[in-house]
Amino acid sequence: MNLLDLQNISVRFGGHTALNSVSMSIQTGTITGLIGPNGAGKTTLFNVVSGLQKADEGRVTFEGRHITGTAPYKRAKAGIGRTFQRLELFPSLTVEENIRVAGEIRAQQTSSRILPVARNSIEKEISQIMELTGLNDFANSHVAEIPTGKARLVELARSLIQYPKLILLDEPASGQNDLETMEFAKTLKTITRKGITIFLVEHDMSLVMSVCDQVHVLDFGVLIASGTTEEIQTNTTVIDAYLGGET
Amino acid sequence: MTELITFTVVGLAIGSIYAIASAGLVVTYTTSGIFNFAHGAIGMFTAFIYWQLRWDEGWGGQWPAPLAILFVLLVVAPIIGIFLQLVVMRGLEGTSETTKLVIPIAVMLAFIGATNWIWQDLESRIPEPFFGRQSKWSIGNTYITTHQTIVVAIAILLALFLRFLLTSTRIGITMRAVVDNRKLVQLNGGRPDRAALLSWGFGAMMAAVAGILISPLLGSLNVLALTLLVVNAYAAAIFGRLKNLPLTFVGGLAIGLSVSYWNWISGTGRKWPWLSELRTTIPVVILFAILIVLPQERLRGSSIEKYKETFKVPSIKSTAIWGGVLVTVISGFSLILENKWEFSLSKGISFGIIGLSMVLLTGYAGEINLAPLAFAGIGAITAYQFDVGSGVETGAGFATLAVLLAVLFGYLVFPAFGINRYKLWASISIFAAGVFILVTVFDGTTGTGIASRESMSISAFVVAALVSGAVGAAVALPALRLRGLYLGLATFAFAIFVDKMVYKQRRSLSLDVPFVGDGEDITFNIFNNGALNIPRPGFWGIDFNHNQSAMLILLSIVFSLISFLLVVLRRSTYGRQLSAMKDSPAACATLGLNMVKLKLSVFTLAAAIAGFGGALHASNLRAIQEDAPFTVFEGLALFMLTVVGGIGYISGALIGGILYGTAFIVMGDFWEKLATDWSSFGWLFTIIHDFFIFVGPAMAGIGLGRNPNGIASQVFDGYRALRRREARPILWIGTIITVVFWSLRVSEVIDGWTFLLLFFPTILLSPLIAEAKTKDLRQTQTQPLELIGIDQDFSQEILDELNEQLNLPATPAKSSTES
Repeated sequence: MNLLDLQNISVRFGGHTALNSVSMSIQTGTITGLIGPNGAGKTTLFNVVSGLQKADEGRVTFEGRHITGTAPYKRAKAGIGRTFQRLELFPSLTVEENIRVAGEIRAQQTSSRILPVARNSIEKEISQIMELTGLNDFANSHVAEIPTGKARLVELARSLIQYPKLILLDEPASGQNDLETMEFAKTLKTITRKGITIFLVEHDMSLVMSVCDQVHVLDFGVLIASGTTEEIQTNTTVIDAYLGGET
Repeated sequence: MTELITFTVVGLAIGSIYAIASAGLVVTYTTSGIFNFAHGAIGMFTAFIYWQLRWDEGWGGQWPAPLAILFVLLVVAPIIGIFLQLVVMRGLEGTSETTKLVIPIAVMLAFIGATNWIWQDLESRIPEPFFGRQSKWSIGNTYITTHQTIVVAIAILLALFLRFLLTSTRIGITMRAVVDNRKLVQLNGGRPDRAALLSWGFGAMMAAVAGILISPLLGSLNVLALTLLVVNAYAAAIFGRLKNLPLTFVGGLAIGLSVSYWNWISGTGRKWPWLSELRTTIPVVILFAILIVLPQERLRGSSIEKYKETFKVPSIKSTAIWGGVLVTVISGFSLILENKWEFSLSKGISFGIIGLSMVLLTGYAGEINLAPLAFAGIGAITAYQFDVGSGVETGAGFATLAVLLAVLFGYLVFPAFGINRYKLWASISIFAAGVFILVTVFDGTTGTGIASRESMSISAFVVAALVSGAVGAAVALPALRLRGLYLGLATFAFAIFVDKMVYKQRRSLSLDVPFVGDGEDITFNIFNNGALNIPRPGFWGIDFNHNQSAMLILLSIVFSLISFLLVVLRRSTYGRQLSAMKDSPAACATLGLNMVKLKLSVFTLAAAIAGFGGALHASNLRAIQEDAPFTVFEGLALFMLTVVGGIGYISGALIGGILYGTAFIVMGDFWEKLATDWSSFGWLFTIIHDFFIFVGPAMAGIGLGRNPNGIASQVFDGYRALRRREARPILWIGTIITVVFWSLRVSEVIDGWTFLLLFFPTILLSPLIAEAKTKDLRQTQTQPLELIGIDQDFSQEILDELNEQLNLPATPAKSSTES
C-alpha cells in the first residue's frame, strides 16, 4: 500500500517554477531516495510534504487521507517526521533536551488520548534513541558546540522519538565522514526494521545506492526518472542530468 | 458637498505628510534592513530646530523661511542620518530581532530626551503655517490654505523625484539592488555601505520635511505628540510592505483621508464620546489591521548570524537561594535607607516585576512585546476599579466576574501544559473555585459597600492579573502569526491605542453580570479625570500605607517568588517548548507542536504578570496619571533597559527595573546635590545631572543594547571567581565586612555616605581579589606533563621545569615567541 502519494505537485516562486507537476508515491516500509542536482526542488518537495510550503497545485495524500491543506503540526501528529538540510536545532537546549522536547510533545498528545505516558518510559525512550544514534557522549553538550555530522544525528533522533510512520531525511549524511556514513547506513536499515518508512534526499550516491529500494530523480523541478537503484544507474537521462558519464 | 471637499482636502494634506514620512522610512529600511523607530523622533527634533531658527525671538531665531528650511533639510537632517548610520546602525545586520528593535528605540528615546533637555522651559512654541494662517484660496465655497497646497505639491514632487532616483540613476539602482541581495551587490563591485549612508541621510531629510510640515497643524510644539504624529506614518510604510513606494504613498493618503473623514462623520469626536479619541488612534488601528491581514512569510528557522544570545538557565535551587539573598539584602537595606531612597528602590523593584513578564515572553519564548506597560496600566486600572473606584450594586457581581475571568484564564493557559479534555475542565474548576474563595475571603465582596476603601485587597491584585491576561490573549490572538519586527509593531500600536483610548477615557462603564443583581451591577469611570488614587495593599494588619520599608520588602518577596516560578517553568516541559519555539518555529511545527496554544498561553501569562506588577507599582506610587507611568514611551524605555539588563535572565529584569526606576534618578539626585553643595561648579554638575535624567537611559540603550546577553551575564562572569571553592574565604570575609559596615550604620556610628563609601569598594573589589587569588592557586597546581603547551602557554619557568623533570640541560633564555 502507498503510504504517501503526491499528485501533480507544482510550486512557483514568482516567475520561477520550483516544482512542475511532480507525482510520485512512497511504499510503506521502504527506503525511497530522492536525488537531483542542486536547485532541482528536492527540499521544496519535502517542504510540501511536511506542510511548510503550500503547493500551488496538486494533491498530497498520506495513508489514504487527503492532507494538502493540513497544518504542519497536524501532519506531524499524523506521523510525518523530518530533518532539515539547513539544521533547525534548538541551540538554547542541550542535545538531550532537544530529543526530550520532541518526546514530550508526543507524550502530551498521546496522554490526552488514552493514559498518561509514564515518566520513566520517556526516559527509557530517550536513552534508547541516544544509543541507536550514538549520541550518548554528547548528551549534555549544547547543540551549537557539536560537529555538523553529530548535529544531523540529533535531528534524526529528535524525529525518531516521535515514532513517525514516515521520516523525511534531508541530506542527513552531509558533514559525516566515510566511516560515519557507513554506520549511518546501518542505522537507516535499523530504523526501517522498526517499521518506519524513509524518504531520503542525499548527494552521497554510494549511500543512496546501497540503502534505497526505490529512487526518484528531480531536475529543474521535473521528475525525470523513477525506479530501482539499478534502473536509475543505467538511465541515460539521469546520467546526463546528474550522475554524469564516465570520464 | 462643500464639507466633503473640505474634509477631502484636509485629509489629502495630512495624508501627503504621512506619505512623505513613510517614504523616508521605506527608503532606510530597504537599504539597511533596519526599521528606524526613531524616524518620528527625528521629524520631531528637526521641527524643533526649524522652529528655533524660524520663529524663536531669542537665540538664533527669525531666519527667513527658505533659509531655515534649506538649513534644516540640507544640513541638519543629513548630518543626523549619516551620523546614525555611521555610528549606531551600521553593523546591526545579522543581529537578533530584539537588537534590531532596541537600538532604534534607544535612538528614538535619545532624541526625545535631547529635545526635552534643550527646550526644557515650558514656553509655548507655536509654528505658523507657510504664508500665515490667513493665506488661502478657494474652489467654489471651499477654502484651501496655501500651507495645504504646498504640502500636497511637495508630496507629488518628492514622489516623482524618488521614482526618478530609484529607476534612472546609478545610485538609486544600487539602492534597490541592496534590497534584493546585499552580498551580491558587494560581489559585483557595488558599495552597499555608501547606498545605506545615502539612504539614511535621505530618510532623515524626509522625516524633517514631514516634521516641519505637520507641526503647524498641532498648534504648539509638543515633543511626544509630534513624535506620535510622524509615527502614524508607520502604517503607510507597512501598507507598502516596507518596500513598495507607490503603495506606501497610497497608504499615506488613505490614512490621512480616513482620519479626516472620521472627523467629519463623528463631528470631530463629539458625536460618540466613547470614541472621541479614535481620531488620533485611527492610524495605529489601521497599522494593527494591516499587520494582521498582510500575508506572512512562511515559518522560518533561525537566521541570526552575529551576537547570538546564549542564556544560561539557573538551577531551581540556586534561584531559591538567590531569591532569599535578595529579600535578606533588601530587608537589611530597608533598615538603613532614608524613606526617599526606599521609595526609589521600591519603584525599581516593581518595574523589575513588570520586567519579569518580558523575560518570560521575550527572553524565554522569543516573542516581542513593546507594550509591557500597557498591560501594567490595565492591571493598575483594574485593581483600582475592582477594589476602590466603582459604584457597586452587589459584591456578588464582582465574585462572579472574577470566576468568569478565572475560567477564561484557565482555558487560555492550561492546554499548553498538556492538560486536556476532562482534566482541563477539572483543573479550570479547581482554579476558578480557588479564585472565588480568595475573592470572597479576602474582600468580603459578597456584601455591599466596598467602595472607597483605604487599602487594596489581595483579590484586587489577582483580578488585575486575570484581566491583563485576558487582554494579553485578546491582543495575541489576531497577532499569532506575527513575529519579530511585525509583532513589535503590532504591540506598539496596541500601546498607543491604550494610551489614547483607555488612559484618556472619561466615560463611565456599566457592566451587567449575568444572573446577579438587577441590571447595572457594576459601574465605573475608567480613568477618572485622568488620575487615579490607588491605595497601598492591606493584609495581616501590616501598615503598608505609612511604612515604606514594609512595601519595599513586600515587593522584593513578590519579585523573588515570581522569579522562582519562572525558573521552575523554564525548566519544565513547557519551558523547553518555549525555547524550542523561539529557536526554530519550523522545526517545532514538524514535531507536531501546536504553537497557537503555546503562544496564546505565554502571552496570557506574561500579560498577567505585567498586570500584577502594574497594580503593585501603582499601589506603591499611590497614584497614576494619564501620562505617567504607563505610557507607550515609558514602556519602550523599560523594554530597552530590560534588554540592557539581560532579557533572558530574571536578574536582567531586576537590573532593568532598577536602572529605570531607581538608578538614573539616584544619579540625577547625586549630581544635583553636588551642584547645590559646590555652587562654583554648579553649571557642570547641572549638565551632568541633566544628562542622566534626560538622555541617560537612552545612552545606556545605545551603548549596551547591542549585547543580547545583557549586563546580567557580565555580572555573573565577574562574580564567577567568588564561587570557586578556593575563593570561599574571600566570600565569607567580604560578607562579614559588609555586615559589620551595615551594623555600624544601623547603630548610627557611621553616616549614610560613609557606609556607601565603604560598601561599594567591598562589593566591587571582592570578585577581583578572588579572581587574582584563584589564578595564583591554579598556576601553582602541578600540570600533568603532557598538557603543558596545550592547556597553558610555554613560559621560561615551564621550560625550565620540563628540562629539570626530563633531566635535560637548561635551555638558554629566549624571547617568548617560541611556543
